[in-house]
Amino acid sequence: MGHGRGEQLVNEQRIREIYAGVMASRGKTRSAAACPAPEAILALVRREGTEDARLATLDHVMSCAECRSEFDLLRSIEEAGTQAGAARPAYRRWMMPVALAASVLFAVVIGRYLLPAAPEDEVFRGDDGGVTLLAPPPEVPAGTPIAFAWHPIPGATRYRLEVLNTGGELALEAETADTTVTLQGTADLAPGDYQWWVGSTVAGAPTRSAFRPLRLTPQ
Amino acid sequence: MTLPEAEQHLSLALEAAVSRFGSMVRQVGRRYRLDESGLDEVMQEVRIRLWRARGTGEQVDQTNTSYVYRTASSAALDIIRRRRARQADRHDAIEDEGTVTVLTAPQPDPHATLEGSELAQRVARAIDEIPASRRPPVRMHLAGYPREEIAKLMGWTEAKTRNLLYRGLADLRERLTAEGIGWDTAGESNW
Repeated sequence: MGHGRGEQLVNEQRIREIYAGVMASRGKTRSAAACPAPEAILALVRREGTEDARLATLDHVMSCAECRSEFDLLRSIEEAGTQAGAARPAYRRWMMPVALAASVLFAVVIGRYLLPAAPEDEVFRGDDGGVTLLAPPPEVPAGTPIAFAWHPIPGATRYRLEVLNTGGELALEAETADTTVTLQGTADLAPGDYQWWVGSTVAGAPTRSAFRPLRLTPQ
Repeated sequence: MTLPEAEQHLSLALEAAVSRFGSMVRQVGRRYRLDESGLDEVMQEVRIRLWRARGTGEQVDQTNTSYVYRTASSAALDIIRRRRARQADRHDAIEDEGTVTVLTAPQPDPHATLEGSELAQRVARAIDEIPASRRPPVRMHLAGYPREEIAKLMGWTEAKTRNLLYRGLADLRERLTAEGIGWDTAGESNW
């Protein structure tokens, strides 16, 4: 990719130098009130909390010399703790809910085979007789857009689709008048376990499907 | 064991416990370009806390890395809070003073400084306008963090990180062009 039609010409190295200068000048005029709490920086380092919250913290940290210095200090301590076996690696903390979800999934699978057989059906239905989910299958390769589909609900004009992570936090959402939607955002989701559901409001009464598991497998 | 001997033993045991973990943090910190003055302050605070909490040399001998790590983590948070409070006090003190003496230093080239400052403002503005989901990785990249560190910090796959960076830098190029700044990609690093 070449340069644009600008009057001044810079390269990436120059942009980095300018950015370093901007950071240094911002450091001199730090407003602590605008800075995230030290605990939020620690949560970023430990990969705790929602991705949105961590991105917001990271955005500030990377534009504030003082916060960046604090971030590097906390990160070094955390990394040393991990290497010493004293701190759990961030990914393992993230995996805890996944392990919990796996246990639940295991219980569901055991229940399916030990309890009296339910009618063989690939779809999940809501307790309230609401939405019947059709696609995607329970396992899909990560890093790709995913098509979601469900049967129409009589009288429904709009549907809401939500994809939740194992912590129950909203990872993706979409609203559509159709009964199918392809979410490009799933390409950005990390491999792991999720669940999704579709809901709608018909004649003022909310209705929704049961949660359906979705595992994004590493490619 | 006499009292001076006990104190010496305690001191040695403390130093061993703290320096074990301190050298690990330093090793990691060098990779992260950590300012070690902050770390020295943390490790000094850890020494004090261990001294208060553990009591005898034998007990300090048994202090494991996990305990030192937790103490260091908690000490670092307290030090950060204290620093911020001191900075806020200094700002208040300056604002309370009626007159401020401005110290001037010889400027190399006022025209070049002004031009550089304007360019910096335009670059900063262009970065601020990158969509929020892609801006933090771009900031990290420009600050010199490798892509692997961005991915590790955010828990992203390598593909997702590369994708967000690619799109974020494309946003930046577009905004810089709108600001009248062209981006020369000749000889650019392969991120």
